[in-house]
Amino acid sequence: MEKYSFRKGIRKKMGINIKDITKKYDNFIAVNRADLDIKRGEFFTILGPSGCGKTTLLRMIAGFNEITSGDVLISGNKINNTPAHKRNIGMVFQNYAIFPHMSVFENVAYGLKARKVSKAEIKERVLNALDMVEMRDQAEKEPSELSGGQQQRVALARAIVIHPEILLMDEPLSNLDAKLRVKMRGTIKKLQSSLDITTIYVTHDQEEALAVSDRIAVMNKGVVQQIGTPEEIYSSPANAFVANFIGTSNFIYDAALSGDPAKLLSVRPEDTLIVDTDSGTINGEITLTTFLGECISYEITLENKEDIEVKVFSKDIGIKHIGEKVGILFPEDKRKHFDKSEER
Amino acid sequence: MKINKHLNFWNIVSIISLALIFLFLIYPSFSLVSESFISSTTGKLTLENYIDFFSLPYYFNALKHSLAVCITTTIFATLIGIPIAYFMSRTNIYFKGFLDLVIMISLLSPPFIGAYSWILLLGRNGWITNLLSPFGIIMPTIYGFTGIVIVFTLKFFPYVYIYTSGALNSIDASLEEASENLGMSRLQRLFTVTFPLVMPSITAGALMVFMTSLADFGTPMLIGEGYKVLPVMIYDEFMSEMGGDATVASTISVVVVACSTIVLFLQKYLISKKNYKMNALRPPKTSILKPKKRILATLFVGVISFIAFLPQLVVIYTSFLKTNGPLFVSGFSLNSYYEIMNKLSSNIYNTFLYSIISILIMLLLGLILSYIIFKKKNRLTPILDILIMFPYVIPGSVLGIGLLVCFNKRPLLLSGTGFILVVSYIIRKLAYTVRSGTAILHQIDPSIEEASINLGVSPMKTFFKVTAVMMGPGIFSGLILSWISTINELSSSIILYTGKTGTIAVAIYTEVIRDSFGSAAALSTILTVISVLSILMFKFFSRGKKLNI
Repeated sequence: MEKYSFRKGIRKKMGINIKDITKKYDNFIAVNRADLDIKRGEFFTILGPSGCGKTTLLRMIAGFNEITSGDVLISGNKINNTPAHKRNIGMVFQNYAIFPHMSVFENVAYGLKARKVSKAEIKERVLNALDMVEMRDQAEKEPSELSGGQQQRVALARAIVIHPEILLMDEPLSNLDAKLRVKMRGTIKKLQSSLDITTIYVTHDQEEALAVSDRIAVMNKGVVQQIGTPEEIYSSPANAFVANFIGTSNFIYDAALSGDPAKLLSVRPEDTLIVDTDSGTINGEITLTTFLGECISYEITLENKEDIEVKVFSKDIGIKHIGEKVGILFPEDKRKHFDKSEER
Repeated sequence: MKINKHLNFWNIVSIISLALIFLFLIYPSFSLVSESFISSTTGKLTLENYIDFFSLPYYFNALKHSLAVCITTTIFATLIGIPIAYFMSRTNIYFKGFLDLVIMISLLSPPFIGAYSWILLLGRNGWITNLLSPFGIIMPTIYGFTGIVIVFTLKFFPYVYIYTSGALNSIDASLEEASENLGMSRLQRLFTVTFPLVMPSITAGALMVFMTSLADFGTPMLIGEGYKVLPVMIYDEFMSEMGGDATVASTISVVVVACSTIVLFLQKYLISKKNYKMNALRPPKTSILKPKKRILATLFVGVISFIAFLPQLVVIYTSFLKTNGPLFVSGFSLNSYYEIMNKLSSNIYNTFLYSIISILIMLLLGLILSYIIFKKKNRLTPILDILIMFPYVIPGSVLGIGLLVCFNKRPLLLSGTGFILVVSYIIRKLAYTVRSGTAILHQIDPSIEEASINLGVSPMKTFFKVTAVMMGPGIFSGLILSWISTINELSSSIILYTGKTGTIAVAIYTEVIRDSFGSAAALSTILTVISVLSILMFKFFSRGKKLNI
């Protein structure tokens, strides 16, 4: 019941349109003509390596970076010139940004006080929000007494308690250890779908992006490379960069195999097959065998001197050893051809 | 629209601050400089003042004396400061907290009290001198070069100690462990890793020693006798030129400022490539000394701290001696205190009034200016940053003369008022507060402010609700330093005071000159007690954090 009343507080569920947005610093273009349409209630992730412009893009939406050109629309309203403190956008910061001089309760109540919400309602909403992140019993604690994961929960509660139109998250899990990261991303995903709140999530971790997102925009060097669902991006990468950033891919540059000097041949390690010598696409020699439990990873140097990786399930074939000569088959339906120029 | 954008709160504050700094710092300094290029006889533009300065031994000797005193002091202070810093931060010597407090107090008390106490102890009629002379032991003279260097060294070595121990504590333990692991002995480690890493801080401490001893006026005035250094020369010349134009005083002032500026840039240049950003992830190890060594190390630090602290004890003791006029008679009494209450209560009142006003203004300016310099960068802020630090190289007497020369006529007739003292205090001591403000801002994550803005609080309100609150403790430590050095300020007050606006420090000086040692001691005791209480308050509020000068 409580969750229902919380949801009712959000009058409208908002979509976000980012139109041809650019951010320039002197001679450096941080974000180059990005176009994104994010649907109401969607969990949308901006994924890319560090320095690709993803955080800059997020900060333009939040209002912390000025927009050089282009528009940001929330529910059809242009917000380019709305000051950051009037945008009603929730944000979770990479390092949580918990106010060190306020208790957990005061931290979460902060945004409500700014909105002149009555005392009784503040109390109810703060406790309600703390409940959602399982922190109600820690309300009177000081930030210095909290672990990283708990601070993260407070930051999340603080962002959602103001009933924001959209929720922005900037690498929220990058300061947590691996196990906690997996647990928290589950918490975030569940909270997001139960509140049905439009969310933009920024990360450099492709596994995290694939796990939580409805859709992903892959960015590199300030340019959006591809937008799609996790499955689309994984199975039909738009170019060589995406193919290697989401999962890994073997790139064969040899024109004899790729068929075109300007193109490269891309096949994922798990789609590449080891066969008897001379019965595959090309022969090679195993240079490293790594047993990973459920699968085995081989590093193989092909006859044309290019190195590739092949992953096979452990139970499929017997283990091969360093120095063994093998045949390599790139199945026709798994081959992709990309422009060499788009690799990085 | 465009104009509105540039006329926000921060820009207005920047412009006002710059205007005030120009009025009270640049204009007086510039007046002094231009004064020094004008012939006192013909009123024309000339270099003759400088030619006189460098060709007449009377003046040129003062420069030689100053440099000799400062270089010797800097060497001794560094040689004493480094081992103390090492023992205090890296070994388990006894009474660390207490010794640290003692060293702090000896740094923060007025310097001329040291000179005055050493005269009481080792002067011509000093207690120790009189005690030893029946045995035929003649102590070397405390007056002149030796005396100035002794007083300065004992007074200013804490700068080297503070800077060096701060740096020693910020070296990550793994660096020294790596050196150990690669086969270096403890001593080799010290000279190959530890000292090179703290070298920038050692030189920064040494620089402070050099600049403060170059600028100090009270000590050489009391103990230097015939051995004249530049600040004393400035004072003498200014006093004899009173009413006329301050040509000679201006010329010497420019020379002093040039000296300290050159040394400042020399130090910056030397360390420019060697400044390592260090943040101890794992604090360095404290080595556990064997009992014998531990006692020896404690004795080393203890004896030096005690000698540095001795002047304070002498002064307090003296203040309770029974007096008859200027003479001490046997027995104890509160005579000296009654006397200052009768005669000099207005000086005490002035010190508090001016210092409290100055400190409140410094608090506000410190908060806002450090924030502007650090966060709201615009074309004016780099200038602001340099100008606020500029008084570091200007001796107080020089600024005092500059202010007096500029503001002794209408429409800005400020000489003789308390206002001009307050102005000189703020200009001279604001740097401490601003520096501690920017230091703490470095530690405040920018996303904290963004979080507040994101949650719907305007940037202005965010500054006062979040940033200023978080800056509080850091600013406070700088503020206490400003406060202590303001109540003890002598070198600009001595130029700017008149009968009605004298402060405690001025009264101590004039009482000593008049051989009225009892009341001087009582006044000094008051200053010492307030300084000690302030340091204790600092210790309490900074919760063990190191002093940041």
